[in-house]
Amino acid sequence: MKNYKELFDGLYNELSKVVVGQTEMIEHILVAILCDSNALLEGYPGLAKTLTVNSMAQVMDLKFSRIQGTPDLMPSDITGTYIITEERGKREFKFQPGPLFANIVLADEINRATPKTQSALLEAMQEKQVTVGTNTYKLDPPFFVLATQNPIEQEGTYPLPEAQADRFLLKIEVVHPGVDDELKIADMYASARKDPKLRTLLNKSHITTLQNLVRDVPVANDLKKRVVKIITMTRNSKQLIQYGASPRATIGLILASKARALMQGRNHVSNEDINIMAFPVLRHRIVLHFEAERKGMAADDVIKEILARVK
Amino acid sequence: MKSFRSVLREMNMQLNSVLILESLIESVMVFLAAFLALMLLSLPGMYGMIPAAIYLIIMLYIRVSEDKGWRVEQEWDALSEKLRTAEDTAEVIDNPVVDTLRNEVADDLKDVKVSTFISMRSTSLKAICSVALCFFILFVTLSGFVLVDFEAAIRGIPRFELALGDGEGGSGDAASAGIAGGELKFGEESVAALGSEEVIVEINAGGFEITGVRSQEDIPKGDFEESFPDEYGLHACEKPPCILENDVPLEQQELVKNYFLRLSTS
Repeated sequence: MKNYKELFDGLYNELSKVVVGQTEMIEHILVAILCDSNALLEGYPGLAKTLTVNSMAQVMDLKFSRIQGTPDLMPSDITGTYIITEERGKREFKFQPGPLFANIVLADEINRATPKTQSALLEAMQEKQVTVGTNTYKLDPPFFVLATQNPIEQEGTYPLPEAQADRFLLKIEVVHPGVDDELKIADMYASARKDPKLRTLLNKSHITTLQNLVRDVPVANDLKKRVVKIITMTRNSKQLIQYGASPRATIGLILASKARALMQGRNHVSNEDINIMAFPVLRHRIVLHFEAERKGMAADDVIKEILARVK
Repeated sequence: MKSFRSVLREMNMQLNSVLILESLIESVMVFLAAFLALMLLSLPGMYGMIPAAIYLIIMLYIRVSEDKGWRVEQEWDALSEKLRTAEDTAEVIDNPVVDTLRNEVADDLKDVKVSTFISMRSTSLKAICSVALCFFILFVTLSGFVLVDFEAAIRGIPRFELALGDGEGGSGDAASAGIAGGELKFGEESVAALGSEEVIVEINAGGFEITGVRSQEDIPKGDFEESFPDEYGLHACEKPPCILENDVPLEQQELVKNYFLRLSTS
């Protein structure tokens, strides 16, 4: 198991050649990949979200594509469409795959795309397939969607409904780097141009093996019960939470904890894994009550209170 | 390599022996404390075994049925969370991660010493308390010190007498003893008759009084009489073997015989 820790430490080191700091974001993106699920990144512009995802695709030898969410983006723009081609004097319709046909898809500012386009993306996320016309095309595994949202400039956006936000395993909040990290960024990018070459440390079969291994990591019964109690409490704390998390959150929290345990080189889930992963798993799945908002509490504050109550 | 289940079983057995020892020491303390308390109340001390036995049974049940894994995890940080995860997944097969976990836990358990679970401080305190209680019991026994004399409060067998003379009812004594004439506590009154005369029976509380102390001197030897005293009405025969004859009148013999016959048939 220590070998896995070394592997992921190697990944962090490799990514640190281009991304300074943001270890929590990198860790949570890796957790989402290992859980064969998707993540929602929320952060201000210029925090290396696209750079991180792109670099990760290089290190993992995965095909990367980017979709920029705009109000005029159509579903066929992302799924692909039929085009007329002419071969040997014959004209026929040929399917041209869209940007969804990649391994890592970065959907930038998903809240700017129309609900119809969002649905097309969400279908791909859930079913790992795309339906165009009467034909269904399977997406090449592994397939991840990392969608981003800008917390500012909310005019003209189509916020993701809670039911669809629930399909993302994690909501990762990307924060500003610290002073030391920002100095390093300035040194790295504001001086002589260097294009560091990233080594490929993993490939598709490695990722598939790691995904299977994550599911094999055992969890003690009392920890499973704690997870269930946490999720149940989000539904019962009516004074703070209007709508609580669904059983999908229970599955998500246990899976995410297992992935984190594997990345830490442990062969069992610990309480610490649950306490850390509860925040990205739950913050987009709970709708706060007005009373909580009146007190100036954010989703993370409510989650912190629930974790303190459930031992 | 031992199977993981056998490793867990061994761990449970070792811990059970420690818990049983703890429970035994504590129940001895309970017995001594109860013994002392009963002695101070002037009651039989051996009844202290009852609370001690109850305490032992309850504590054995609680301690043996509790989850041993938690105890081990509290004492050994290396096994924290790992042991209970391995226990909960003991039935899982074909899982490489669980296999490595079990191997690790089995290796770590080898380093766990049983003496870790015996608290020297608490065991010493219990031993000292037991010795102190023994001394107190010894002191109370030798000095005869009693806090409350319960035995005196319940002492005294009630006096009673059966009816005398006309057989109508109880005498004054019998009445004061709470036995009314005609009660069948000691059998039918009509049985207590020898011929035409009623048998007078008096049962008094046993007691004794020292009327005199004989000085210690040799008891004078008396000649052994070969013949039986006259009052028994028995005469030794001249040549043994012989049957001892008596001169009790036949009528009296019949009376006694009938009396006992009535007793047996009533």
